[in-house]
Amino acid sequence: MKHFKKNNTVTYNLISYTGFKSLLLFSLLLDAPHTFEEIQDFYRTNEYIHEEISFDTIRVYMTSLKRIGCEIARKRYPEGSRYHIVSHPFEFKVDADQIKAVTKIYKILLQSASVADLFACDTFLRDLAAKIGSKELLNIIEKMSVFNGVSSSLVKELIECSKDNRKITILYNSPQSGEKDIQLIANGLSYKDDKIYLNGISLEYSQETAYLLDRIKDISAIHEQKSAEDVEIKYTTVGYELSNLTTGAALDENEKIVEIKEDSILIEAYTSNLFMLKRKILSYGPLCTVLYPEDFRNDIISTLKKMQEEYQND
Amino acid sequence: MTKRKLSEKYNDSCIRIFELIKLFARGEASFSEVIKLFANEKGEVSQISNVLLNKYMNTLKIYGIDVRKSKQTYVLHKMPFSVSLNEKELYIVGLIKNAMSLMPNGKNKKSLQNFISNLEEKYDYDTKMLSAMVAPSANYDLAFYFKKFEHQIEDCERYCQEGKPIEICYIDSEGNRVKMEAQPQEIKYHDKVVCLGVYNPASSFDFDIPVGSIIYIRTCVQNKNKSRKVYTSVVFKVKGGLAKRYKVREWESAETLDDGSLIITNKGEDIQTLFTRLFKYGECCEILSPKYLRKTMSKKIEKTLKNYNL
Repeated sequence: MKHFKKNNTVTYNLISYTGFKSLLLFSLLLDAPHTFEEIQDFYRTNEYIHEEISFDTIRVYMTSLKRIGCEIARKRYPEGSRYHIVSHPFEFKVDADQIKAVTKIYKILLQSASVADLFACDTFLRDLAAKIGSKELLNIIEKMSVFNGVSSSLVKELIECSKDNRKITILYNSPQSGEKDIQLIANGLSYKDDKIYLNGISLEYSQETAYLLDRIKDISAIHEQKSAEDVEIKYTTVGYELSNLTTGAALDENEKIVEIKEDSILIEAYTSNLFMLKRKILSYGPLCTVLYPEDFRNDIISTLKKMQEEYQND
Repeated sequence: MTKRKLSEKYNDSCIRIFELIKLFARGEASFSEVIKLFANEKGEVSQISNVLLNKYMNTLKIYGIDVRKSKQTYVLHKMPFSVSLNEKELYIVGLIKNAMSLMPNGKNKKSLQNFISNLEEKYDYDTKMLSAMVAPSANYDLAFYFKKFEHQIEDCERYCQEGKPIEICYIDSEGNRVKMEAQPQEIKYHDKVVCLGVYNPASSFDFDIPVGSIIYIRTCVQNKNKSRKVYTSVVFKVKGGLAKRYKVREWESAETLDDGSLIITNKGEDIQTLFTRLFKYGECCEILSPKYLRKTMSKKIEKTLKNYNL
């Protein structure tokens, strides 16, 4: 505007003064609801306008805005009616069908993208919803997000630490023992069973472990680089047979198919965390049989027997 | 200059400045299109039109709308309502577009395409330039299931959109052929498997049926009225260490017993997913009701033990 000012007054012959005033009204009514008196006051005190504008002129401007496609709402307040632009032809509108489609694509990404990309997608959609002022889009993202209740900075830090496999100490709210510090080598974030986990090598138990993201309160310390080879981990090779699967088995990174039979496949898992593998094997129910090692096979049998006992009184 | 009767009076300059913005909002506008806005009542462009155009361009400039002229074409570089994205954000748009290209054709894909094209239309100039340079991610296996079952997924989408009752026949996770009447709900995604979510009024349960295991789907000849979805409650007990770390789902309610155990009431979870989950909990979980599900669980345990010759 300064380019059009000479001797502290605007040289109106260089701009469309009325056009400029209507643009200012457009911005004002987009920001918040205003009464006619407030609009008058705005023009009176504006450093470039300094002009008394009648209610009639404001009405004419508003009618013009409506004519170009603005929807102006009027709400009654004790101090008078307030006017607000609720939609305009230049905004990025997202309708209900598009929001539904966004939730679909989010679900697809949940199953396929890395957690780092998923987090970036989550952040992008939230920022976009805020930018375009779509409460509906924001609400749906908040409802479907798997990062709810976790601070963005914590997720960012965990992603960074995992990239370098850093040794870190996390403050973890353990269901068993309450809040405590846990030292681990961060290996990455993963999504499973509707939850996000931090995978790592626990330095306390010398085994691969997964920690629920929403139970991690903070990163207490980031230590010097330490590689997994520096930690002595006890691995076990478990062989199991999976039969008659119609949906396709999702092999973990530490698993491989060793034999394909007519009705089943033989899988070998190389793991340091038998607890997690046990849960996976149990989830297959009758479709799965552990073949070796004997002690793990016996552990599964013992669990099944205990389960059976619960239903024996029927 | 005002026109029309008092209640509908509008101002030419107001209209014209916004018409000009509308033209530029498309991204590009030719000089001939733009100057037409400033033609006289007979539609003639004169020297005055050029002067007016300059005044309006100056007005837009001070309002913060950056439009640059190059070879008889005006190019919008930035305006207050345009969307500015950085490289990382454009990468995510690329990721979404990649995933979208693998979605089955249907209403959802069309809506998402509209969403993306509306978004791209709103890019400011810098974002448009940058988007041409950011290659969409190609390193992700988004095709996990879609390519193989593309047509089946499309058919399932169509059944969901039609919303008519269906007869569905499929192979369940234990290899049994199952036939049921159901109401198609939506396409769901479980651990890289695409499922058709249906509601079975006979059992009052939702079933998520893997698309690849469906043998056939027929629309029921009799157009039965949609029955209201009433779900059967499944009540189970969670004990020991699991009770402490159990995360109550959105569709569950929990009651804590004196010994720390939890009584969970679950309503509306796909029955197969629920069984898989409860089985995984081992001896820390026991189904309390309904009785027939207790029996089903007991049989499953028995069948699993038979795998070990027990």
